[in-house]
Amino acid sequence: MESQCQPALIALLLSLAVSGCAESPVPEAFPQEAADAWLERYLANDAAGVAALYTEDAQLLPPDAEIVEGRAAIQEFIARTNPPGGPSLEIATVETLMFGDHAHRQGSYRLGGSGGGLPATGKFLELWKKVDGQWLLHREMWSANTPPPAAPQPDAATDEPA
Amino acid sequence: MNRNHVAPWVALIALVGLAGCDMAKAPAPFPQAAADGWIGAFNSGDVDGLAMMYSEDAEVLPPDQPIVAGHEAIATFWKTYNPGQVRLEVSAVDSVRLGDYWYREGSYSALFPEEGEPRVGKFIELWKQVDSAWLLYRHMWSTNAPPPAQMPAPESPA
Repeated sequence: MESQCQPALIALLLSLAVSGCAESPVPEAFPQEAADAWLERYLANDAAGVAALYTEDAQLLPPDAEIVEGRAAIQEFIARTNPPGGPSLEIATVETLMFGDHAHRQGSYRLGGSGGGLPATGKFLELWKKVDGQWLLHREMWSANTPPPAAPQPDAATDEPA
Repeated sequence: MNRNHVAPWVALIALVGLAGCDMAKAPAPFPQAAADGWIGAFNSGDVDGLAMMYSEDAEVLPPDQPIVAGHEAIATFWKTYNPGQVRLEVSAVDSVRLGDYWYREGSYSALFPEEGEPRVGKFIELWKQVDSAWLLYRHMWSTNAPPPAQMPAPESPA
């Protein structure tokens, strides 16, 4: 082997060594179309369609209620809490973070008043997971920004930290 | 450089490459010391110490209240709990590393003074590494049942 080949060989090996570690392709954008589909189906009272946007082992973490786990339970929950004729819902994305096959989204929501009731605002955190190439909701937690109207105003925080 | 000199170079470069990959992919455990520090500060009533366990851009997302952002507001917020008077424990904790963050979820039990039964709930946390410290970036929780005097239907999800 000629001596002038050595720098090229070393450069090639270095390049291979470095490229073997570099596994950071262009970051994928947050799957907004999946989030849009969720809202569209929710507003159409399509509980089964909404549930299909969750992973098989997804969890809803509702306020003042136990964790709801799995598509069947999520469908039942959505159908029960979002009957036809219910209030409107608007969602705004505040922040998204992409982590390969996971995505984090924080947002705010506005639940329109129904029957003369006042609208309610709140916030949410979501963890999305890419399963077989499809982005699905894996964890979803939300809470209102104010206590329920019927509840007495507490002196301090009504819930406790974790 | 002759052929005999090439082999050590190849071996060295390959070794460096592999070692670099191993270091980059070595799984780091969840920063349990930071989480334990949070619980310890809460249970001992160290509100200022508690606030410093959040990143500068942290947000606390409490139930039935607006988002609380920033160290000063977070310290003021936690003071309302009289944290030294509440006995807090977490369980059923799971965590997953997400890039430069850690996602953690679990259950909690908080025994308030003059309450016979602890309040039980669930939480989600997003931890962020700032310099060498792991700090809370997002923190959200809620109870598993409404307060005894209040029994509303669960609100719609967002």
